[in-house]
Amino acid sequence: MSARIEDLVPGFQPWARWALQLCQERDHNAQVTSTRRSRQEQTALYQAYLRGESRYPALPPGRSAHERGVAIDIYASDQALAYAGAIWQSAGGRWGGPIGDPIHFDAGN
Amino acid sequence: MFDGAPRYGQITAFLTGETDVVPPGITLENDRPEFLYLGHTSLMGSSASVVSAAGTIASCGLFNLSKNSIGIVTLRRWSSSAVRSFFLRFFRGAGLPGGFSANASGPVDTRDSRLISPSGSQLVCAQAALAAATGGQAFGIETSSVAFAMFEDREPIVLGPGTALIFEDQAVGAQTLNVSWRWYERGARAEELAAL
Repeated sequence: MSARIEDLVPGFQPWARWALQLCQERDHNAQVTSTRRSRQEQTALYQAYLRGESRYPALPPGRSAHERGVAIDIYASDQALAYAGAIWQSAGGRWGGPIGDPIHFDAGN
Repeated sequence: MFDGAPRYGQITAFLTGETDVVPPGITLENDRPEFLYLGHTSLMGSSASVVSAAGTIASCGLFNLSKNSIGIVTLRRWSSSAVRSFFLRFFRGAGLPGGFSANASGPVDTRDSRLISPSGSQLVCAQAALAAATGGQAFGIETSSVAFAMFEDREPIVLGPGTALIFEDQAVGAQTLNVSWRWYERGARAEELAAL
């Protein structure tokens, strides 16, 4: 599973870097944990989530923005994620905080 | 023309023989619907300085006078030449309050790589030295204990159309007040405008 911003669609890459930068403003240890996923990788994550093995929720294969290359997961402190999420949402993006997935930032629909 | 989307450049050149024409039916990557609002987001910044004489109140504000833009204030820095306490106020109004004069507000950065020079800000930075308080709802009080000490706040605050943040002395007094703001700005969604 990729954690490289360069694997996202080119148009989303500047936004992904921005999300990471916002998190790093509050938490210098913030790092990217997931960017683009294949269908197989999303399937494996979803099955792990259903088995209760994942701390964070995963969408069924075919429905994740990670598969479309327009989403990024970032590991950071809760405060940093809340700070970045508030700005990300206000800027027009979608943040996973309100649905229990605070590490998730995507472009919305 | 398509430096940020080389694949489109290749397709355009293949289909038209040109490199700066968008063939019908092709959507540039940065124009994809999901990038609509993020793509219009730019980092903006401005600062204000006001000298208040004895008997006047120093006040600096960031006003969203547009009818269709959203500003997300992410940084506010201030300092005063005097040891004083200040209100942070939320203000609502269609124009600048009386006595305020506007400053230049400008773009700092944009994340749309195609935009070399992003458009100007719809928000207005302004300052005033007034005989009375501006009004609006105070939601914070900050006090400097040392002259010219620099204070910084990074809590994001969203300013919709017709709203403003005002940083204002609690009482009259001579001083020099400096305030700088940094904010992200984008066009408002239709549903946001409908909710106003």
